[in-house]
Amino acid sequence: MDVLMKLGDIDKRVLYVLLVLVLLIPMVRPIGIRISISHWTTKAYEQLSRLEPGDTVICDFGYNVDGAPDVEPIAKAIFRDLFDRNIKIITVSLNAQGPMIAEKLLLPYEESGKVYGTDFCNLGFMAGGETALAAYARDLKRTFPRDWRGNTTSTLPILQGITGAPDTKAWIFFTDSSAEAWVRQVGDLDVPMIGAVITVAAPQAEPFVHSGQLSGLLTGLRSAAEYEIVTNRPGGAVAAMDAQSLGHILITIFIVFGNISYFVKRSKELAGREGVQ
Amino acid sequence: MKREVPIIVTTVAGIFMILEYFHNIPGLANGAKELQNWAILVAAFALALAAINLAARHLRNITARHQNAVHSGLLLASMFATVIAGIFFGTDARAFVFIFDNIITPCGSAFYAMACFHLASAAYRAFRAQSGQAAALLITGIIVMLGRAPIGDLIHPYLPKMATWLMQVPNLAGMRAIMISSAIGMIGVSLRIITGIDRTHLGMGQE
Repeated sequence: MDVLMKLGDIDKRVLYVLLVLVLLIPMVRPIGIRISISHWTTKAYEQLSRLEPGDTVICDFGYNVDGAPDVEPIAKAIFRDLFDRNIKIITVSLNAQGPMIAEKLLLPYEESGKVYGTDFCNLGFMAGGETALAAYARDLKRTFPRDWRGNTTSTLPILQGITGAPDTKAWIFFTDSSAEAWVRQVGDLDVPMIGAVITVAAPQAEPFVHSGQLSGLLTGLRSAAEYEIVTNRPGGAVAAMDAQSLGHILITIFIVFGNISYFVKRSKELAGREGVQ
Repeated sequence: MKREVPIIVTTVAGIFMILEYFHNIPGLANGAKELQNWAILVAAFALALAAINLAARHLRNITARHQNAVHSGLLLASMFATVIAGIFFGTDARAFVFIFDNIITPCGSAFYAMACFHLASAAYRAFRAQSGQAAALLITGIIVMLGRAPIGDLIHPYLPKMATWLMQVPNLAGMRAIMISSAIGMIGVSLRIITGIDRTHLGMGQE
């Protein structure tokens, strides 16, 4: 009985050490737990697989570096897929850190031969929240007269013939908060929209896929791993899924321990009270 | 005039933007774009003002030898270092990229990673089935947590299906109810502002 009661009083440092171990070990020695593909990822993949070489998509960076561990793997998986298929990418950002994040993700492709201004461009950050989003979704060049690197946007070949979102083939947004701003401001424009959100924002974003306002939804590291699998390009997200699985198992075990201890203590208290009466 | 002019501007701008959004009236689209660009300019000025305000506030902390003066000094030093690197050397300069890649990014990732430990510890200590509602929350939480990880398939093939059902039926219904009711609330607030009944955004209170 005492052992069961003590299950609820394990030092949190023990939990931290165990958590570090279960997260680190699978990274070093992957277990290879099979990853099934969710309906939402399939939907997003099907939408993006319709794109033809030469098509242009807008990637909107709306996350900060603290949300990057969960959202960035999705951006990496999508960039790899799109660039491999010679699809052009325009990056924009509602977030002050967005252009730097985009620049870092685009750099390897530039080094491998993709041409800035022709195959991709980074338009940078625009202050103003949803108002800015509404403005650049309708007129990119007017809202961003210069790109992040200081070029005049009207001279960029990638932007020739493109005014706003309806002139592109897809709008993909990456965010560590709610998807509502994009649904409100870009949703009425004639462009398929795919959301890539942090895992905790998934419950808020799912109604928009059901209603058809989002053409696909990717949520956190799990979706990144799924996207890597459906595109046959397994990478960092797939490797991290074993760690996530074991982390979830450990937390569940500790929650069960806490509850066993709670019920044992409660039954002992009740028995004690009945004994007094 | 001090009261009326801001209210008239708000009303005209509000009605203008609503008309542009819902009706395809020639000429309105360009006007709406112009208004949006003005809002962007105002937001950019607000950012600059916020930066000046932040610097002034922390300078006051330092000159008054406040107990957190060291923190204020650190904030100002890092703020000015980033601003100087960005403005004078450009956003693609080595110094600016160094600050972003080697200070901001690892610090941000570390904060996010630490949340995992806090959440695990909090779940262990506080997630107790003390009542029927708490038990329901606990069970659904565990089903979704395990069902959404790849290990869920191995534990039981129905676990991911149950997690998906929980997310797509009860969660969806609840979220829709919250979204629709908050949207209706937002329409009400917007109408009160446009008609001049609610003037709190102008620092005036309500009629």
